[in-house]
Amino acid sequence: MNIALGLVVTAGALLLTSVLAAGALRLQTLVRLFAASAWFLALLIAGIGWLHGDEHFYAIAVATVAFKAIVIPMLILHSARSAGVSGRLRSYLRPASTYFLLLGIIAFVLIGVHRSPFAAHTDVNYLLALAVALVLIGLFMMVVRRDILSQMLGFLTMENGVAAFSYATVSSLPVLIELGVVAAVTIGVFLMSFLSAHVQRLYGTEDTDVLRELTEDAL
Amino acid sequence: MNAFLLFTILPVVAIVVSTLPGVSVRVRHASALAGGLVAAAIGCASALPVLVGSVPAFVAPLIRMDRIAAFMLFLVMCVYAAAVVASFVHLRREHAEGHVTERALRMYYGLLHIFVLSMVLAMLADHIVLLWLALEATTLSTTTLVAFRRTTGSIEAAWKYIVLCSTGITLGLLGVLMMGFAGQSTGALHGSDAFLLSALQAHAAGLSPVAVQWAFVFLFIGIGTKVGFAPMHTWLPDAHSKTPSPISALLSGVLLNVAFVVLLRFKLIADLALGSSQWTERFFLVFGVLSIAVAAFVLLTQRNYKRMLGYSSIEHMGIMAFAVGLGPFGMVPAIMHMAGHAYAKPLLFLGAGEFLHVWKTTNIAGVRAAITRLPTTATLFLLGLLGLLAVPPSALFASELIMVGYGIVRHPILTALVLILLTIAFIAMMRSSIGMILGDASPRPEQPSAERTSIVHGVLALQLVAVFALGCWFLTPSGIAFVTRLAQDLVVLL
Repeated sequence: MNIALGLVVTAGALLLTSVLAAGALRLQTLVRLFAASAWFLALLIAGIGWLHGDEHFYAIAVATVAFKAIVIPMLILHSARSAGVSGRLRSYLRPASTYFLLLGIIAFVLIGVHRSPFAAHTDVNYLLALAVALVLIGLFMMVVRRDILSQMLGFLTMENGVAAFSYATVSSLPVLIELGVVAAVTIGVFLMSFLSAHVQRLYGTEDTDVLRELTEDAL
Repeated sequence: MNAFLLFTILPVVAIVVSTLPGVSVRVRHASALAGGLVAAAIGCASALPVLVGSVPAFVAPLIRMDRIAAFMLFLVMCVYAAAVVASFVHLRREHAEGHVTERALRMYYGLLHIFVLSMVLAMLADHIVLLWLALEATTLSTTTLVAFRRTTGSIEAAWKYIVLCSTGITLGLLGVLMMGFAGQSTGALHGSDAFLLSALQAHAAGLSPVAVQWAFVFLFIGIGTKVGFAPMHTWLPDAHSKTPSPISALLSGVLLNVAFVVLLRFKLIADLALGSSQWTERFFLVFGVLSIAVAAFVLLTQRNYKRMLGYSSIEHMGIMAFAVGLGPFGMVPAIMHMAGHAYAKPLLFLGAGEFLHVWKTTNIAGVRAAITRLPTTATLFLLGLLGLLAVPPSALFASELIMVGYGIVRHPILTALVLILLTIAFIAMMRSSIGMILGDASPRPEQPSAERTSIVHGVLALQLVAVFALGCWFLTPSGIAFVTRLAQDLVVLL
């Protein structure tokens, strides 16, 4: 009972940190909030493992902390520091408008998931709602944020949602394949950092508005 | 199975030798070329028996080799062989001229082989998460190749490529998990078995139709981004135009087809679960027409010949999607189109690479009278373009002829619209290319030809022969029967 309640609270904390991250306009704050959400995701995975009595969830929780809460935030901060990027991030929306829209999205998700075919087959509906909400928050960040680092973290938030869906619904996958997915995400983030460092070096800014050389009008 | 092992090991050996520090540049080139060519030959030899039916299709743990997988393996290997030969010539020349460092050379060769191995795995994987991993690996291995030149344009293209494709493929992963979840919910499939394509296909009738519909929507958006369907196509012209030409040939010629076939595999499961193919066909019809329309109108105003080829790929993926959307028999022209496009488009990208090397520009207006300066390349390019634009007896003519005949029966108005759009694309591409190849070069007359025949011309000529020979064969009863047998791996109601 206590574990189940703990899981609900952790899921809530994960959602809250992700929503706050979507509106954060300082790099340090954004990265810290993302790292906090990764800790909550790891806790959630470990809790699900405890409930299912499946020990391999603990290994995944440890890998989540190692990569998403430690390595990736360090990589992003290092890349930003070495390129001399200002800590101020850019968005098409003000934080208040972002939070307002995200609340609408979450309400929509709660209704949608309740009616989905997956809700009938799983006993943890709130995890499904959390998963879909995280995917949409990530997509939302990728659309409204105007800087490369926020877009990277938006992509990772989406990936957190997919991970939550996986652990809420799917009982088991071969460990090698699960590690493959973690490796693919890590390599993807590494490549994004590598490219964002090049963008910052070539253009002197992390604003994605400068990436307009290849539009049809410019050619 | 031993041949498979050898075929996998050879590119790995080529990766190791061509990327090891301390190896001479000549050995790097030679090992990449030899490893690639021998692996391609073994790959073709492994695929052919299953393709012609002398060896039955089989499923090994996590791997599945049916006719359509063998067909795709054969196509990938043919373009792989062309790409390693072209890379050998292209990089040796660029390195000698000082445009490419040895470090870049190592990275290029290493990633080229990893990219091809990922495509092969995507075609042969029976486990859908493994299949997803292989598709993601194709994006990850080619991102650095898109950024190969390290110019502002190539970095921008690589950024858009990884962000859009990774986002798409992440949504695709959600679809994959939903499909596996639908499998587990049947009660007949447990654990990892619910993620096997063969098992999902066998138990499709028991899958929840609504869950499968949800999964298919995510898969269509996710994998459709990788195929380059409009409006998720924006990364494609950038990435395909900024990448070195041999990689563009692989990206356009086979990677798009690989992603397309992966989507068709999931379509088959959805069709079996829903008891009809009509629901999934609507997606292909709508996105197919939209892709052809977007490509045709952008081609009209296109000023960059590599981007022109990129948009043409979007158009051809649209044509294949439209054919699939017409109904079960549409799979036959779609497969014919896949084969024709897989030979014609690499030919044009490799030809475009030669133009870029001589004129140092990708501007259509910057290349004039190519027939004078590069007579062999220009002739092959022009003939290849005619093949791509479905001039008889090209393989693309055969596919479009059958598609239009079938389309007039199934969806006459949409088929008429598609014919108009294809005519627009034809006029746009011919106008641009004729100017490049035969256009007046004054007031800056081109130098007379100093072109030496190279092995790349041999590769282009072979691809040209394949485009037209396949076209002649596809219109014979045996050709249609052969492709129909291939299509039976992907449709329910033939």
